[in-house]
Amino acid sequence: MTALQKWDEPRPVRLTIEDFLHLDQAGAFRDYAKTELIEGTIVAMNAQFSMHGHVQSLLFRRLADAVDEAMHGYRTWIEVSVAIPPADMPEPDIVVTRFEPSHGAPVPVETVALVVEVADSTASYDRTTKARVYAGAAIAEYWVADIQARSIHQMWRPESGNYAEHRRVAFGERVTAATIDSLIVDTAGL
Amino acid sequence: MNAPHDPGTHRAKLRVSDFLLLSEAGAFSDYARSELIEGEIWVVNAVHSRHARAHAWLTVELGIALKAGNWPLTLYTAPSTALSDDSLPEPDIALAHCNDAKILPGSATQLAVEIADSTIDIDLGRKARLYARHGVPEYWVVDLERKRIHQMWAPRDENYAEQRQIAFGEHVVAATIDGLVVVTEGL
Repeated sequence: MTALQKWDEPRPVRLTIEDFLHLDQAGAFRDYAKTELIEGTIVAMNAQFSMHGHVQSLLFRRLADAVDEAMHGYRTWIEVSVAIPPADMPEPDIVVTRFEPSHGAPVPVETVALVVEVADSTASYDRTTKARVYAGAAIAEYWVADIQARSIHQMWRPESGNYAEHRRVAFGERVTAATIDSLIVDTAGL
Repeated sequence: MNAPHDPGTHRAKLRVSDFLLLSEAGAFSDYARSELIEGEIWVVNAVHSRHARAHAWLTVELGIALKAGNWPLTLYTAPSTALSDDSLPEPDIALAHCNDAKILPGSATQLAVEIADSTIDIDLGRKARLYARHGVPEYWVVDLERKRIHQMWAPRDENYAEQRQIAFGEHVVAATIDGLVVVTEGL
């Protein structure tokens, strides 16, 4: 932990979720399409264009239907903040959670079963930094829909900040969840 | 810069008002120093003794030098200085036109001084550009490693047009404060 180290050369500050929420309430992020707290840094996302919207929406519809059928008590949400204390609050493109919606509350990470990011220009970021954050928080399974590579990178078995298992499924094929029984998503039309 | 930047994402820039909000909420209470530089917050959580000694020593000498004259300037130690909407640096020492605004405005600053041990590259690079761009008339960087003071003045655009180096032990004659002389023997 950095808290025990003493340094005298300036470093970028590592903000907490509490800091991030203070700023958000004060309107600090009004100029950005979307902001996330990733490893203590506030990261802004560029505008999302139609291909991203197409892939995200289609995946959401298929995944939500599959979750309703296969996962009792779980919900599929789009772009909701997930709280990973102390210094991460991403807003994944799709989240599967058993959390009861509650006013003003982000999704607690321990209720999350699956996270999906749709990557147009952010594939390497999603597969490295984001994977480290999600694996570090022990989210059981993580998919990156990589638009440029036209495939879904499926990752599971989080171990010491990384996913130990992964496989690649081409757009158009069926994705079978590795950690959730009977959850199958048809990606025809992506 | 150390931020990993991939296309599609970028580090969000903060403003002075955001920084102050966090500061008042205690976000920086674990740190010895926190600054907002071009929208990014930088912190240190320790001040090493070599830095502290030089800081104290030069503060005393600048105070003595200031008392010898009649300039309308006040000595400030580590004042948060509002240079712009996205930069609130904390120079180790400043001579400024007396101003009791909650945050010292950059326009009041006549001389900014940074003491550098591990921060020399930042102080001569990014910090110098920052002070120059916002028209701080004079800027000194005390280089503890090489035992000399970099004196800069005449800010033009992103840089100081004039500069000289003074070895520890010699006198520093301020370039923009007529008659102000500081001894450096004890640095």
